Amino acid sequence: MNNIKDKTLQGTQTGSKTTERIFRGSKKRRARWKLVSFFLALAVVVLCLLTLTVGNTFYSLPEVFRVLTAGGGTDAMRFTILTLRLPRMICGLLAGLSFGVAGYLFQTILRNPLASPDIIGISSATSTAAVFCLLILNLPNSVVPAIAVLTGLLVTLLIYLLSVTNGAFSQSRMILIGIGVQAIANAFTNYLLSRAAEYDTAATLQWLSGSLSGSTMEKVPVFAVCSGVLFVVVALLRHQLPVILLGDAFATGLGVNLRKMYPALLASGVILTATATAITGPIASVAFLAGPIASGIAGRGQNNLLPSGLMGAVLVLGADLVGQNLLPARYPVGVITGLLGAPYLILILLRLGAKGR
Amino acid sequence: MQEHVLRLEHLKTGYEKRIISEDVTLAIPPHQVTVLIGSNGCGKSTLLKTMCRLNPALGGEVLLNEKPLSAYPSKKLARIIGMLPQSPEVPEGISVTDLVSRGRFPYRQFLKPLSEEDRRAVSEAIEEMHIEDLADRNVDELSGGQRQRVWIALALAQETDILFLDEPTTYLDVAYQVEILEIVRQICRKKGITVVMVLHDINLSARYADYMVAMKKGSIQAQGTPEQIITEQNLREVFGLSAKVMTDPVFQTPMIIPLGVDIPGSASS
Repeated sequence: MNNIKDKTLQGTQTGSKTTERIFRGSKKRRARWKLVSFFLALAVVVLCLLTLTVGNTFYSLPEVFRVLTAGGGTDAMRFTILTLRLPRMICGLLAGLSFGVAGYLFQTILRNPLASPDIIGISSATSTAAVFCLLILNLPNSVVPAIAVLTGLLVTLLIYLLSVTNGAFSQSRMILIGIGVQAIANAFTNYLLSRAAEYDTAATLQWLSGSLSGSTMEKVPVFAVCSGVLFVVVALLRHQLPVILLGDAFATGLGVNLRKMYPALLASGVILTATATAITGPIASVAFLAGPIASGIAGRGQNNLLPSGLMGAVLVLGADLVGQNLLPARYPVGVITGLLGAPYLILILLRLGAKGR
Repeated sequence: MQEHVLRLEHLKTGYEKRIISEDVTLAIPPHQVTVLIGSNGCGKSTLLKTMCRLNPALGGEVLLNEKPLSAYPSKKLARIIGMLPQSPEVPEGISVTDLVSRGRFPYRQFLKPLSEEDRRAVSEAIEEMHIEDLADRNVDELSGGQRQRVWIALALAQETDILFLDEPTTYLDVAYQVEILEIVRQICRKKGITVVMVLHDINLSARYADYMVAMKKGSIQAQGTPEQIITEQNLREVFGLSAKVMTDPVFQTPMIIPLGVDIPGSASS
């Protein structure tokens, strides 16, 4: 080893300028990534504060802070901020982060922009399970997240097993089967809705379109703990993602243990999606859009897990503010994000078509 | 410097339903360029993949320093054995430097950015492959030959003592083929690393190999120096090719002139 080190030391003395030149662009791109991440985080904070201040009645920031910290303010004010807006903000933030991170995980591992959980049936299947629990089994709200997570994991496993042919796993097969599963799940959900008592369906329908209006403080602790733990897990594993993107062979050669990493990362993505879906409903297209938009701004060659999560939160909180305040009628957040997602889906399909894949 | 020795013992390769090699025993000569040759489907690529743990061994052992590969933690192994797979996927929008930097993954300290040592290794690999001027270009915009040099740079940045290359010259123009093989041999000599690769071109293999292994139907038909392997009899047995073998007037390595193939039913000239 010494031998090699001596030689390379000589090399670096003459070559440190070259090293600098070779890494110049790399540094710039890294700086841009950091800047974009910072501004996205800033945008998330601003949107959180807007969610607390803006609504039917506008409360100024000092007023909001007084209510949050000192226990001041009138009863009406306290009700609006603590019971309506605060859980809405927290659930929107967590759901946005969850969908954004889960989408990026899936798109990276399956190496395809179409591979987000809301396209390949995982969100739909968890929704079906939740609707079944609420409308048919009349189970209490509190068990729904657990059942949603379980369904999500089972359905993912099913899609995965179906996409293995001759002992080899095929990414594109998984996406096609996932799209099929989504259609089946949606059909089943519609059937359940048609069978359920009419007075039950209104709230369920609103939840199904992806809405923050059902957010309550009771839902926050489970949601926060669940997604918080997974954010930590995913953050610890994040360095594996850029290497996994190089394909199975390179990833293995570089020392990624794919037999552990694939299940760990996919399961994290599924649990994040399912938990968030159980709370806010399947907010359309956030998982699908967050990663590509974030990567487009922060640089596609970077590890964009963090910007994707932040972008998810920006999309959810931003679309909710628009849906609640800027349009003639109030719309659930999923309607707005769905409007954004549809044209992008078409764009991606056209691009894939042009590539001839 | 610790010398790493790679040895195959009664290795069985293939896939669950299709066994390709039943029993391969082979010692890879250290610090040399070893080339695996053989006709399509003879199991050379599968053997290579099993040697660098991309495919699991179905039986027997791949022994690194007399210990089976499975006994090594994956990151530790990635600091000893590097590998360039066949036609790797090109991620979109990533620059050459950033891509080559991913070769430092096995050395990454937990949650730490690239170290000075990492940057040194990356720029050295980039210089060795003569792609300094492409450093800021996106890999998906490069030509096939340039791209292949980037992939090899990635594997070199890994700084392993053993390097596997699975058909590094496939789909490349002849000038690029020669260039890549020339650089690979130079690096092998300069750093004293062990190189094992699969090649298709017999003449280029003979020129750049120190040691050759000829495979047929999953087993080793012959092994030795190019002079020992490239004989008219071996070519007939391994490839079913009748050829004339001469000495290359420039490099003094064996050179073949294919005459014809034994196709049943057609009269060979």
